Amino acid sequence: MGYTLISRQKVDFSNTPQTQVDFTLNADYDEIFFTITGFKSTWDERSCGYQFITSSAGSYDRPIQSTVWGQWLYAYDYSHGTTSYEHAWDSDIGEASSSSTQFARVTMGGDTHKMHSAASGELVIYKPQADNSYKYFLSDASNYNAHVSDFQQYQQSMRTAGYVKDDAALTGIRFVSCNYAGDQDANIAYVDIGMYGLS
Amino acid sequence: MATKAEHITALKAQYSSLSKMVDGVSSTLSDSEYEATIDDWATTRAAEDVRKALIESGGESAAYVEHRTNVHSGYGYKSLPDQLDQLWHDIDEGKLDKTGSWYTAIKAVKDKYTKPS
Repeated sequence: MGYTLISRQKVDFSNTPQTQVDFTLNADYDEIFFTITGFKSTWDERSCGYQFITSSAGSYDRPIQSTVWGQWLYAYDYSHGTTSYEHAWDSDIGEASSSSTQFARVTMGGDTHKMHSAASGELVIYKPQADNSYKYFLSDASNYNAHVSDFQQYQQSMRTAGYVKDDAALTGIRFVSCNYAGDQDANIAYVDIGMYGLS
Repeated sequence: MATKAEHITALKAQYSSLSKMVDGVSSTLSDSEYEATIDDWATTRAAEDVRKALIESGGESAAYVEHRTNVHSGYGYKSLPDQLDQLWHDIDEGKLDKTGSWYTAIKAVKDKYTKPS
């Protein structure tokens, strides 16, 4: 049996920008698959970030460990970055429950001034309902951006693997607009997120 | 470079209210949620201003490699095609030495973003 659409949420340019998009996670599925389409922030160089909440946690601030592979190409002069990786924060439970909530990133940042500057990708979470192990995830996303003019484009790819370092079952996920360090500081201007489940 | 207080003022001027979407339903943030959100955003933006000021002013920094090689920042090395063009002109003008455009541009970046001792 394939993936089943559970729910879909959309922030559109015709609506009020949103600080966050929250999904209640369905415990009936072994895999939760998110499609993230056309993400744009209300602020330049912002990424789509996400965080989790559990039945025992008071807010979206779970410790997340991840490693990222990234690459960029600048179409103006065909320059490109060397393959790079990020070693995301490894916060212990105490640090993660502080007020400095950080979000894991599913995309790299993008500019806001062109309609075709947007990021899209996928995020898969495995066994979110497990209450005796960490919860692993994979993400794969790209963004295509205008830089200065329509004819100076750059593309960035980002693949991430990691886990939520919490034994408790995940009960919700929050998507936000955040900076390179995972700090939220802007609204989501546009995104269409589908949540699918695999039994 | 704006302070956190200045960012708070600017953000409140830009957003008189904020909204969130939960399971498909959009709602306006409460007063306390609004104040906390604006405070968080202002904290992040003020910290980013400090970081950008460091990049623009140069000086000793553990991130000197990133500052030197990030062609998007506008402050580091030029792109490889631009550097090759500089070398061609330097050779053509007989200035393939420390007076040439390529050498002086590279040295300016190295001097600005110094390697920590």
